[in-house]
Amino acid sequence: MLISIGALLVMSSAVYVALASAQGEAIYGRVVSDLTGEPISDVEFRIHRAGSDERQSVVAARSVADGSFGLIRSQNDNDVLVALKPSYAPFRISFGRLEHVLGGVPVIRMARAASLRGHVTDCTTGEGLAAAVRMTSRNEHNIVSHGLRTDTGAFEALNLLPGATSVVVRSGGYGPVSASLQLTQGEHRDLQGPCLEREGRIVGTLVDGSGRAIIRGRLSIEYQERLIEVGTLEELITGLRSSGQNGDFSIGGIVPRVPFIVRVNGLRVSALPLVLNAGDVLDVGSLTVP
Amino acid sequence: MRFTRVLFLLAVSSAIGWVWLAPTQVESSEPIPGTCTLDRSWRNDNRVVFGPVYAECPGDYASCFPIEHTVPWGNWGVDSNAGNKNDSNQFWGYEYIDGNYQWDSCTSSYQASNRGAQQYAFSRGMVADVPCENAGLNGVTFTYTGQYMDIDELDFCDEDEHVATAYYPGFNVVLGCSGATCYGESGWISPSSVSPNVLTANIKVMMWAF
Repeated sequence: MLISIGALLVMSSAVYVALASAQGEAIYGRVVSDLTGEPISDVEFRIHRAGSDERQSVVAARSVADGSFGLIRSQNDNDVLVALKPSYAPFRISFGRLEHVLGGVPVIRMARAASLRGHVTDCTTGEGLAAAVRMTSRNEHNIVSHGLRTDTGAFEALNLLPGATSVVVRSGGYGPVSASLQLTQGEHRDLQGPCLEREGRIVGTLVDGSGRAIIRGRLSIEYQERLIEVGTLEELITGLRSSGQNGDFSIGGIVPRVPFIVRVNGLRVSALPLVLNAGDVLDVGSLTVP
Repeated sequence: MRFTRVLFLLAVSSAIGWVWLAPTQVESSEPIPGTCTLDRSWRNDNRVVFGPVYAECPGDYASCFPIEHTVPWGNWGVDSNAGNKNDSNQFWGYEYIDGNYQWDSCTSSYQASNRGAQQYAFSRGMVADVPCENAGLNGVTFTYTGQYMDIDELDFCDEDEHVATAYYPGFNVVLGCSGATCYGESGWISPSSVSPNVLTANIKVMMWAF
């Protein structure tokens, strides 16, 4: 390591000048391939100020042939050191964690980036849908929420962290779907989907025990399967629109084929669980609020 | 607003099994002993509309009896990576009408909202399968890329009108933990672009772990 540091100081005059006028502590380390352990050269290190947008980051250093690098530590533990190299997933670590977890001379292990592509369609017609896609992946130092939008349904996300990844796909008027998958280093996965189904809608009228219209209140939809799954009585407020002067209501965004009941101000008003198919609009008639 | 709790799975799986979600669901989970759970709030502020906006103009809609359109006023909702739009207070305007702070939605005049910072999306209980403190979430970096706000003027009985979509550059939030409680937030992030370019608003993400 001493040889590496010596070589670094000779080869990188910029770093040397920075060290000479140091306002903060110098950090030396190495960057290697997570797959092979081989050193990676020409990795660009940038410092992102805590909480700021990435456009305000500055280049702090580049690794040399043996993977070694040196830079001046940010004085804010929450500032983030980012290592960038084409075809590798960005490696991010806060300065506080860099020292406490990786130690005094950190070895940064960069993984080959993975990618995901897919095509969002209507399950019934097969037509592409404008959609929002969010992928969440992680390593032990960084959790990345990577979002994108597509107008045609086709999407591709590059530079993803390999490992456990969750994907959530949403489109207006359709029920969202999610998937969990495992991406390996350098993998380019084609999801071959997903398709989304149209949400359902219920319409009706709310009255009290005397038959008078209910024009105030919070309508909610409670999915029984969800409650069974998590064992709580929490409910989902969805698609609420203020009811009309005659107590009319309309609730969209209902998941197809999942039984649900209707509540008003937390009180159950539908006697039996209801089930809608994709795109159904169901008139439930008059519902009495206890 | 309360949310149904649904397991947020980061399980290792080679097969892709798509799962239907409840419409407004974001990552959410029951607390698991020995793990750290996260609540996150997405906020916007400094909302300024330059216009022109033609989302709620006279005669430009179907009849909605008995609910009447309140031309030119409209409540605006936010669709985003973090959650769906709803008819509440996701993008406060400046004129209090019918229970919401609304915008003049048929105008080419400058408007700004001084209602302050407000939440437009919230997620409860994303699981991190590590303890909060020490080598767990302390100092862990959360990176947000591809953030956007799709802003619509909401209509009860016909299609919502698109006002604009604001896109934001990537940013990082680092959690700091004291004991078993962690906190972190981004600064206010200004949009990198808005389409059409009729408004602006900053966003920030606040995170709590416990």
